Amino acid sequence: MTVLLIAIGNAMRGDDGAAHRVIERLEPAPGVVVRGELQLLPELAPEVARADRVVFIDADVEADEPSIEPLEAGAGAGTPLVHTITPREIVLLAGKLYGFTGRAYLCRLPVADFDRDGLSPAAEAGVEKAVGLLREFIR
Amino acid sequence: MPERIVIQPVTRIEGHAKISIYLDDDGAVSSAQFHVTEFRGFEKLCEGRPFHEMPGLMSRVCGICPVSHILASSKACDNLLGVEVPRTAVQQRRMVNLAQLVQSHALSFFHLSAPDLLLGMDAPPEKRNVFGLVERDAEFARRGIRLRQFGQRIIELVGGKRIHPSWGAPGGVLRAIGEAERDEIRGWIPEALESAEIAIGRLKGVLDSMAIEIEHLGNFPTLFLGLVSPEGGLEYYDGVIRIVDGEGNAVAEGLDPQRYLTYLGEASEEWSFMKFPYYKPLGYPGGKYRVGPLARMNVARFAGTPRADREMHEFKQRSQGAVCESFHYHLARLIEILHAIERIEEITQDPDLLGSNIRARAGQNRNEGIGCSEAPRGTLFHHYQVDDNGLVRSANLLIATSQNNLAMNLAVEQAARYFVSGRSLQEGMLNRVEAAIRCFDPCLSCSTHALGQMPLVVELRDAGGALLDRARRG
Amino acid sequence: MSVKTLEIDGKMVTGMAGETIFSVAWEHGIHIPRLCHIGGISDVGACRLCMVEVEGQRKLQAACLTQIEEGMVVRTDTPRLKAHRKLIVELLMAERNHICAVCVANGACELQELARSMGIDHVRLRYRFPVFPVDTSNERFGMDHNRCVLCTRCVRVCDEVEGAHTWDVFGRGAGSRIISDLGEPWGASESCTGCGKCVQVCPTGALFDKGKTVAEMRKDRGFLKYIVTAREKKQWIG
Repeated sequence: MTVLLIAIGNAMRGDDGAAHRVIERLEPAPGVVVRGELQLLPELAPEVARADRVVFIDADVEADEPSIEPLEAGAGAGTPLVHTITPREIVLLAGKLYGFTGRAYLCRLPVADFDRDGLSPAAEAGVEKAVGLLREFIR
Repeated sequence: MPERIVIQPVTRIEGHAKISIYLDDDGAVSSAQFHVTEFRGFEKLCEGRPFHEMPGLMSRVCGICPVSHILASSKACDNLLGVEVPRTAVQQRRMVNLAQLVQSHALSFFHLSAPDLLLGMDAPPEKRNVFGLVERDAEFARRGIRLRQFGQRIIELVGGKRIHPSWGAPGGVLRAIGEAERDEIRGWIPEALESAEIAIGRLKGVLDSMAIEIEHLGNFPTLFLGLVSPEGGLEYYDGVIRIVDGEGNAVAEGLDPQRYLTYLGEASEEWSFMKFPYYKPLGYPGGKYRVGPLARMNVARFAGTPRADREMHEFKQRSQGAVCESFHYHLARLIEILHAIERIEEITQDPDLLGSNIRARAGQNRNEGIGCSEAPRGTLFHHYQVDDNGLVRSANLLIATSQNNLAMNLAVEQAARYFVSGRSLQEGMLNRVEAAIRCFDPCLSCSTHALGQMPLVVELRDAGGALLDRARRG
Repeated sequence: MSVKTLEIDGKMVTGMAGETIFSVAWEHGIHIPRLCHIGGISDVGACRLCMVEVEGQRKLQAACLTQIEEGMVVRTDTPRLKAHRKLIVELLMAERNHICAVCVANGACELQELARSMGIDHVRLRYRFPVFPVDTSNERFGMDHNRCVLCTRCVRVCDEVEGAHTWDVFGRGAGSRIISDLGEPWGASESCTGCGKCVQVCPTGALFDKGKTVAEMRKDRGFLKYIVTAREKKQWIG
């Protein structure tokens, strides 16, 4: 059983880096692979396909509390400005192109402020809770 | 009073750029602007730092194309040392620059533009995405990913790291590579060449159905600027600047990149943080020019590799003068991928690639250094002024996306004039306006990436300035 | 010389009278963290990272300055000590501008390694972002005060081993700064012999070889042992 944890965000942009803090806090565990990404790129799909379970950890402006929810494959709306694709798209590519049959989850983190160094107290509290949730999840 | 349609972020949390479209009294589009509201201030960070640190510091400008900044920065530092870089280091730098181009262009085409291009701009939005693409042809999508992996793998093999390689340095590079690395790179080549040609064939096959977009998404004469080799072929690492006009006539030949300030100016507008570079002899904004794949196809007379030369020859037939349709940035990008793979193969055949003389050593011999290379999105300049002790006094970066700023604004305006009508924003309009920007593949990856954020906001205002409609685009 | 027996972290160890807790612990494989100590020059107890608990004493003791005593019971790794050390490293990080990603010593820095070994993934204190100059007036070396932790290894090696005493400490508290001679630029120093010992012993990227780029600076801290042994025992061994 391999679990892949993928933290997404820009650590130089305040709370956008919350996911990276989460994976830094988690203790290494057998079968758990951790990756930190500025943003998602398509070549992550083959790696996702090799895992049994994958959790995307990302800051979410609409999250009030950290949560881990199942994530369905799907296409996201494209944007012409940011060269990134969504967790749902990665799951889609992993499934359709590389035979991923595992389960995907999204861990959303609450955020308050992107214009600062380090995390806001709200994001910090969210990270703390998310670490607890993920510890449970991995077990 | 003109009306205004705005595509814009309302707050920082919502986005990083906006498009404003202004309507006149009759409700027709009078003008449009593409605003960038991000401000980075990287040049300020460099002040007071030893110039030797610049390549490593500059690699942090961007997590998407760090290699381009490492190269331009290393070249500016070579200049401060006043040395000739050993051939082994030059070949490594060339190869990594081309690898960066392949992976960047592959992302732009296969993942960001292909849904629009291959499924059709009017395909329903729920189909016109990666999902639709994968449904149609999974193997094609896999090839796109493999091309990216090819580029990334070279950067990793040569640079030692995938994202911010500490590899380029003043006077050369930090690591020699061996036969194992070279042979692995060679192993990728046949499939990569095949993928590039398949993609070119696909795109050419749908261009006829895109006549309206080709005509109205940024089709206008401007100058084109880019590096060319001394013989006038495609060149990404060194060479001289060539500028052609919309008819394809040479406006300037053999310009020394070192003297860029004598022929390039930078204007600023209060409504955008991004500067507006222009060609000085023609003034502002008359001296607007485009850089990047389309510009390189227009300024170079030939590619210099057989497969790319065939495609480039055909490409140039699309117009009597220069190819002025911004839509053809897409095809230009694919031809560049093909050319880059051919060049990478050539470099792997050069025994000097594996040499151990990788760095020229010298003290500081100049107080001013300028480095210029072609990044995926266009010509990139790094310019450092350094005191006698090697500390940076000032740094100036002239980046591709800002050099395309005037043309992007025009392209947005042209797309809006043709596709936007009425007092509300429809999906088809927004998609076309965005597609105009996407031609240039501008990048704001240094922004935030949180879920639920809308990097781009579109607003529509009436003649009195009142908001008619607003759309947030994620 | 008499042999003393003591207990460190539950382990019975012996050392010679006059030896410090720090050196006896290291001889027995108990690696107490440190930043200002380096073998071959005197100890000053500046960094406070080697603080240990000694049974029967309320105050923490600097292991590098405290001599062993018969029957001493020492603990080097209690939760209290760990918390103290972590805070010290965080204070150092917050005090100046330590930006590992773009530092010449990235990957070969003792401060970075300490932070890594203590699991410091962020700093709880507000960064001060002071404005410090970089002195690159010397032909071969540079001094970046932004990365200095004021351990004074450079001051001591210059004074005790090279005999030049080019470096010293100027100012007080957080405003302290290493200066060459009487505050002249390094390149104008008349006492500096240009030997480079200070550069090699510096634990961070504060002192560096000019011309090194990001993550390129590597330091040879072993040389000091050779020189000191050669001087004391007339033998060239490390």
